[in-house]
Amino acid sequence: MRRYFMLVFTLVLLLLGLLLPFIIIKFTGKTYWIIVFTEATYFALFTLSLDVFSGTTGYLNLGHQLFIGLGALLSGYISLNYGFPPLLSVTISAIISGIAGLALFLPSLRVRGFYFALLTFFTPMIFLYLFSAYPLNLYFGGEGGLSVKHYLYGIVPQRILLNNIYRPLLDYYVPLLLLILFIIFSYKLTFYTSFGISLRSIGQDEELARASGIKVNRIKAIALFISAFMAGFTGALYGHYIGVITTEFFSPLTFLVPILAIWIVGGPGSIAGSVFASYLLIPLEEFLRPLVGEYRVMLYMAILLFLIILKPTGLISWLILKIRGIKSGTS
Amino acid sequence: MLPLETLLYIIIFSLLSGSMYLVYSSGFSLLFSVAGLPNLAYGIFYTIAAYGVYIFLNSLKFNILLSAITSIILTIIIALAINEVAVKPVIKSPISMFISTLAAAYVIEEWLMINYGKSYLTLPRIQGAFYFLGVPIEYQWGLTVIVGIILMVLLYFLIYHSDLGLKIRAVAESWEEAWLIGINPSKILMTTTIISAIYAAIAAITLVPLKAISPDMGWSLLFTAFAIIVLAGVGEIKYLLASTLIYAFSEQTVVYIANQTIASIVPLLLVIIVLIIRPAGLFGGRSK
Repeated sequence: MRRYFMLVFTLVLLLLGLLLPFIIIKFTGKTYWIIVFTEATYFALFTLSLDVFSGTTGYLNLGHQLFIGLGALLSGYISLNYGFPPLLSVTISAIISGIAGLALFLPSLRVRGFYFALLTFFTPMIFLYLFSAYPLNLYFGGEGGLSVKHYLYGIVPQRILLNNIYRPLLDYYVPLLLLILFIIFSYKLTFYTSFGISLRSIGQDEELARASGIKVNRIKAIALFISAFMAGFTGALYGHYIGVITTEFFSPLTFLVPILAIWIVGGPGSIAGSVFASYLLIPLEEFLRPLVGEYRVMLYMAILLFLIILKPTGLISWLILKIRGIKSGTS
Repeated sequence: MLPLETLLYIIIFSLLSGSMYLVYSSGFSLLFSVAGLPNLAYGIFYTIAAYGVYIFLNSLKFNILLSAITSIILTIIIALAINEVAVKPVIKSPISMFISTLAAAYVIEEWLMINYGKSYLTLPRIQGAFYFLGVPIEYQWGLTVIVGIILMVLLYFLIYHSDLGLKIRAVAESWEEAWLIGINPSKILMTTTIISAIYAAIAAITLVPLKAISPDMGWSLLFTAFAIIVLAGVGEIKYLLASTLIYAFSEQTVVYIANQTIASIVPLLLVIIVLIIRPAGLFGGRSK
């Protein structure tokens, strides 16, 4: 049942995703909502990269924006100072983010996941301060941030990047394709490889997994590397897409708050749920913007608080289970 | 080697900043270390108390003592509300408690940010200074040292030499078993929250005059408190003073050798090193 569900889900997402810009342009005549859905795609990617590690192993990573911010800032720095093409600098900085994830994970080899959550929560705050104060602010732009080129600069002709129809379409399709690839990758990884099985068994019972001969620490470390690498890659891509990379990327309010809300609404460990939730919450936030305005974070947090107390398994994954349970007769 | 006079300065400054950390972290260690509640909203208790004093003092024109007392009461009320909404429903799962208390803290922080965050606010401080071993020290800092020691001693007696402390430790050990032997766990939870809110409010009243008020000021101190608790070992209230001094001394040494910015990475490095080398904390495991 699961196999068909994911296949159908991915195909529908691909089809809807491909058609969506044309629908939007036909009905509104503007590219504004395409930009909103681009944002939603990026947040789906961020949430999935969090889910690869935290959703499977049950180690809560409260500092995911650290990897996003490191990826973006380092990529901006490398591409500006060494003249690398953006795509190369994006990859390099993603690898560095992955290594940073490993470094942060080291202490958790000896203690419970409890410390991991606290450590990951506070580390980005220190990085925020460190990167915006002297002397690092000289290299990373400080308050004003780094102005960087588009990630396709040098690959796609300049006239397309400057066109006000092609540019939003391109910006929309690139992360969408990445999202499809990443859904397939993380789905195959979690459910169809021995690595994924070990990973999920750690999430179920770490001691039991260790006792049955699974190299728990190595598996966890690899998963966190993948998670941090993905976050760094997407974050760097996002930075080059936005054009200005600031140290605010490290602030919990920029990324962490929406990502956590999406993750919890979608249901931890649910790939489809995370994707659904980000396509639900980000446009919803945009839709409600005239109403909530600057109370955006409060809205997210209220949703989060409400859900974590009422339905900690996630709203959308619960719905998916319901629907699938009815269809297949089992649950 | 460092010259003797520099060493004296470093020691005095680490005593002062150490007392500041002690004032702040004693309440958090009651919550986190003794009661086992990873309540991230402790930082916001501190912030609320600071804004409370500011508002009562400037908008309602209370005198300083009255505004301090009313702000302590305000902090208790909000702490109890957070306790009901974000702590009690998820008492069984510390991981969920991280997210729920974080959410509650950010709701309040954002509200403060929107309403008061744009201007530079300060509280009045005690004027004047005295000399200690030839180093001028402001009276406000002197007050911090005294308050820090008082709070620490009170916490020690509360935890180890009172009926309530025994009950708090029992509930932290096991919610059900405490209930079975006739302790009301949710009442103990409420009492713990009230005491930690009072501690946070006293910390705010003592420390905030030393710096400016901002909605996010609770977080960095919260990390310091976390680092100190990890250094001492979770549950080891006895060694809190020693680990605070070790922490403050290493931080002030880095400030002297490098600068304030580099020193901000000290808590992170300390926590990582301690967790790798001695996960039970520097002094952990000795008393048990």
